[in-house]
Amino acid sequence: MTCLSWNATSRAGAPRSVDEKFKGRSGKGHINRALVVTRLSAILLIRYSRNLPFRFLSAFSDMLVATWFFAISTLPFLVYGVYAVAIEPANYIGYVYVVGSLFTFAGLGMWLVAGKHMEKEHIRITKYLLSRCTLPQAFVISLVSFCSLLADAPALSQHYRKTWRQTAAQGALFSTTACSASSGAVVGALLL
Amino acid sequence: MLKWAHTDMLAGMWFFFLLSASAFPLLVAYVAWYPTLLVSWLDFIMGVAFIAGAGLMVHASYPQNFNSTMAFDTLTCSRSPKEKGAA
Repeated sequence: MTCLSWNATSRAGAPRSVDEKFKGRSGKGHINRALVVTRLSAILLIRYSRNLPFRFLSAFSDMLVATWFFAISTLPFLVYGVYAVAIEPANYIGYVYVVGSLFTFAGLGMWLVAGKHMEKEHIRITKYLLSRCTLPQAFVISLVSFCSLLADAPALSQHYRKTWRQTAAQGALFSTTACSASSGAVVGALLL
Repeated sequence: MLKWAHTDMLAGMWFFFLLSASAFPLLVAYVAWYPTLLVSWLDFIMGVAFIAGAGLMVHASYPQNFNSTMAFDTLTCSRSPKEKGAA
């Protein structure tokens, strides 16, 4: 009962513990505690989101949002890589996925930074974006896609016991990704 | 000159979009064939995000749409600076 001494007292004057206080009428302490935390979080979020995040987000152009979509689209590769490593740590396929997706995400980070500055200094940064970011990025995406296509077929087919239909579908998907990235690389090369 | 090939960047972005969009039926079929497979859903998420990004990039690559904020205005239900100025 020592924990009751600092706490508030009930209307009848009897002291209540923290757990009793949170239990409330429902008697479910963890639910009420979660509700209090949720309310506090909501208050803090509303209080501080009035200025900072929206002022920051208001500068998002369409090109920057599109680059964010590209960056998000690389994350499933990372999930898949971690999953493959967890299942079979001795196989190098999972590590290829993890390293490739992180490298691609880092490259897209350059896109995001360049896109952010492009709004201010359009001409100079556009040239920088296309010559220094687009071509290497497209090349890396193309390389990762092509390597994953080559590496995926024999090893993961055996591991997951894929059928010919599944292997063909995934192979065609990676080929399409590689083709689109290669076309970007070609255009980037033309621009240089 | 064709409208979609005003600039090299625009033509490249159309390549990006069309080739990635051509994979969409495959993504749907993959999920439909193997709905319990994690990889099929990851591929679906990856493909849809990539197609959405490529489409938005095509829109943003038109000269008149440089620095436009259509996507942000739509996502946040806010008005663009042009609309605010008109009002």
